[in-house]
Formats: sequence, C-alpha cells, structure tokens
Amino acid sequence: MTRRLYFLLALCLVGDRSGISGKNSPSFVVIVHPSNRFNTLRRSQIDYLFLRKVSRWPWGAEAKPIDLPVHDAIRQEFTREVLGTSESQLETYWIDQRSTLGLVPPDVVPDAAAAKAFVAARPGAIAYIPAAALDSRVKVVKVEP
Amino acid sequence: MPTADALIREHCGTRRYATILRFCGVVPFLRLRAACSRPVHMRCIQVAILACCQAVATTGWAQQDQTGESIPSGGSILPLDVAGYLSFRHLNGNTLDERPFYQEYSGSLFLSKTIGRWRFHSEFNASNSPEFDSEGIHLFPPRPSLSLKLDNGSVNYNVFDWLQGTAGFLFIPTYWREHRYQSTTLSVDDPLIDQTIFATAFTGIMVHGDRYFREGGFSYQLYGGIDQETAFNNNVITKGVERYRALGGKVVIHMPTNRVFDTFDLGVQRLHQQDKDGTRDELYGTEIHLETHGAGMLAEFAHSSDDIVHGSRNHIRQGYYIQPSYRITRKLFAFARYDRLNLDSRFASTNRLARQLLGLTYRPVPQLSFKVDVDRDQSQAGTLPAYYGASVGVIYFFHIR
Repeated sequence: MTRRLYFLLALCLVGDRSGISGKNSPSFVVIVHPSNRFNTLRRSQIDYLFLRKVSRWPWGAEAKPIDLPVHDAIRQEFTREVLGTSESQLETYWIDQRSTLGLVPPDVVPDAAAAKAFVAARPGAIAYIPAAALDSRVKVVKVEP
Repeated sequence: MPTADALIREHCGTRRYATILRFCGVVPFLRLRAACSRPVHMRCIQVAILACCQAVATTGWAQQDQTGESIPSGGSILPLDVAGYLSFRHLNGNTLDERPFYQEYSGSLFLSKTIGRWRFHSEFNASNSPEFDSEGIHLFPPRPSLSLKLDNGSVNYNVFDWLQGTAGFLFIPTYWREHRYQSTTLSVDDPLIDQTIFATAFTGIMVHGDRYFREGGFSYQLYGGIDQETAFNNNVITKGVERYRALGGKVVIHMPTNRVFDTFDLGVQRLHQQDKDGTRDELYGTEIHLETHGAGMLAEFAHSSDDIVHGSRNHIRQGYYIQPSYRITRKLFAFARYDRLNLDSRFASTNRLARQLLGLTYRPVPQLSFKVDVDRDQSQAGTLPAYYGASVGVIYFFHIR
C-alpha cells in the first residue's frame, strides 16, 4: 500500500514536470549566431548557459546569454518554460551567485530587435525573441525537452 | 543539584562561551587577535595584494570584451559589479546568558569583475559585534562595537569550465560557509556545526571546475594553503586563531533527475590539517541538497578526528543538521532544522548540544527578507534543562547600478 502511494506520488511529480513541455508551442524562439554549430539544444543545456553554469561553447567561444527586460512577457515565458523557474526564484539565485562567486546575470537588452542585433554580431551569443521577430541574420536552435 | 550556571562555570569557565555556542558556535574575536601568532603586517600585505587585484580589475578594460566591442551592461555606471547587503539580527537569548539578547547590525559589500577568463571577487564585512565572528582578515584592530574585515578576496582564471584556478583568501567549501548569506538563507541563526568543525577560511590556491552533461554533472574543488580555525583553551575557552597547513578536496554530484527535482546534489569532502608540531587533524563531511516544487531539504554532516599522533587520535568533533523547507507561497517560506554538535568527545557531558528550530521567512521582493525563528536548545545533552528562544532578522540586498 505504502509502495503504491510512493509510486503515485512520484508519478504526480514527473507528470507535473513533463506537463510543462506538453503545453502549446511557445511563442518565442531561441536564437544563436549563424556560425554556431548547434542546431538543437536541450532545455538543460540552455539552462546551464543562462544560469552561467557553463561559460563557453564546446569549441571555445565565450557564451554570451542575453535577456529581455524583467517584465517582458516573452522573458517570463522563457523563464517559466525553459529555465523551469520563476523570476523571483531566479533573482534569489543571482543574489546567491553574486555573493558567493561574483557571477552576474546575463546582460539585458531593451527589446527583441536589440537581442537579435547582439546575437547577429557575436559568435557566442544566445538569446530568445518572439517567433514573429525572426529574420535571417540569426539562426534558430530547436529546443528539446 | 548544581544550578545551570554552576555547571557552565565548572565545565566551561565562563558563561559567555555558552552564549556563543547558543548563538552561532563562534568565539570572541578580540581574544583571538590578542593570541594570534601571525604578525599584523603579514595580514596587511595580504590585504594589499588582494586590494591591488581588485584595483586592476577596475581600470581601463572595464567595458570591453575580447572582441573590443562594448557590452550592454544593463545601464551600470560602475566599472565593476558592486552589491551587498545590510542586515539586522536580534537573537533572543535564554536564561543561561549574561546577555538575554544579542543584536547585530552588519553590512557586506561584494566587489566583482570579470574580464575575459579572469574573475575578481572580494567581500568586505562590517559588524557591530566582532566578538561573535571569527572569520576574515581585520582591516584595522577591531573595537568592541565595530569591526571591518576582508571576508574573502580572490582571483579566478577559467581555462575551461572544468578546469579553473583560484588564488587568494578563500572559504573552506562547506555548503553553509559558501552559501551562508542572510539574503538567501532561511534561518536567522547559523547551524551549530558552522565554524566549529571545519576551518572557516584559508589563504592559498584552489583548482576547481564543473562539468555538466545533458542531464546532471559534477563539481570538484582541490585546495591547499594555510587555513585558520578558532582555537580553544581546555577545549572550551577561546585562546586564539590556530593556523594549519591544509590540503582538502570536495566533490559534488549533480544528480540527473529529468527535472523531477530542481536540485539534487550530493557532496563529500575531505580536509587534512597539519600543525607545526606535526600533529594532524583529519576531517570529512557530507552534504545533500534537494529541491523540488518549492519543497527542499538541506543537510550536512561533519566529523573531525583531532590531534592525531602516531595514528591515534586525541578526540573527535562531530555534528550535523537537517533542514527541510517548504515554499508556502511565492513569498513565504517555512522551515525546520534539527542540529546536533559534539564539540569535544573528551567532555561529552558538557560539549554536546542539540537544537530544534522552526522558522518563517517572508520575501516581499527577492532583495528583502524578514525572518523569524523559534528554537529549543538542549545544551549539555540533557544534563541541563532545555530552553526556548526566538530570533528575528531583516535583510536588504542591494546592487549598485
């Protein structure tokens, strides 16, 4: 009986988590410089880049994650769907990182156009923009669960 | 039957020590300084070197990346990252204390700068209660109600994420030591094992790195240098800071969980300390950190076999804490903590402490924390009656743009 209870509990946890990716397709796309060798990235890999757990791409280029402003709806969606956290938890994480290691959050640009221009100019950059704002200067990477 | 005070005096010599154990396991720093064997000018030199590193970081290269192009800095007008926090803590005492309560006003300033593969980071701390804090390097002789210290200062070079080198004045990497900042901890009080088993900091070098895979990964730290640890006279009264040659390491496994857990980290660490006279201490510790859906669990265990000569130890120190927590709402957190500490196995009846803690933390915004803890302390492992206390804290984190 107890085992069954634990199993159901675990199932609920997993189900709830996988539910995040099971929603409608997101309204943003993740973009990188055209020279970037990745065509797909797992959510966990994007998470490492945006939380600065990984500072370089495998070929040595410095990773430059770019964020949109805090109250931007696309940022909130990206934070929730890809990073799997909330803005307040993210901010607490950066307070800890600032205090502990001196790490700072990704640079913030004012809008999607600036994010796109930044990524187009830097081989190591990665950002997210509304799908409607996409153009040929940047490359889209597919996000795997 | 002897009174609580009499027992304390008989075994500890001073009630102040009980107060200190009660609050954070730290001992009066003013006494530490008096007995400190290292000349003051040596510490001044250390501070100066670290300050120079920081100064270099603030010069010309500030807003340039490797390509020489300017980087959007979120509107920052400063050439380095400046952050810090202001903290007020009121730790309500117990009937055993000379001081029924203890109020601490403190502030920390973090100065950081990343230039390419180099990262400079330092932390300065000012406090009105220097006698309760044994860490850091004092920038000037502490006064009874004020101290100003360099808590850490380092320069880091990133060869790869999995191979980095850091040099300077660094924390011994126990979980609580590294993440003890009041803006992010849930409790007002630190665990009993913090600063009482592992040394707090060391001057030296560290090789470390992180390796992440598609899911999970690991982090490691290997370090060596001269560490500093609070010393006790007859194992109960502070007599100074002892310095040892230290060599240690730590490995943390970030378990792959397919996002069932936000965090599932398991860590082990080892530290070897050797005194000038050849006696050595062997320390080890473990930690677990779990978080999922707002529920969390943090636990650490630490053990020290002290004064080992010819393979035989003189005594041990040992302790652990377990801290489950739950995020009730986005802004309100609840937690409990169970602490146990055996500060010296030779005096088991007097040096064993246990504490149960229940608390709430309210963060209306991530930068501002209001905390309240109620605790039940069992000093002397049941030979004295348990007592109850409460602590409150208000902490504000700032970032200067």
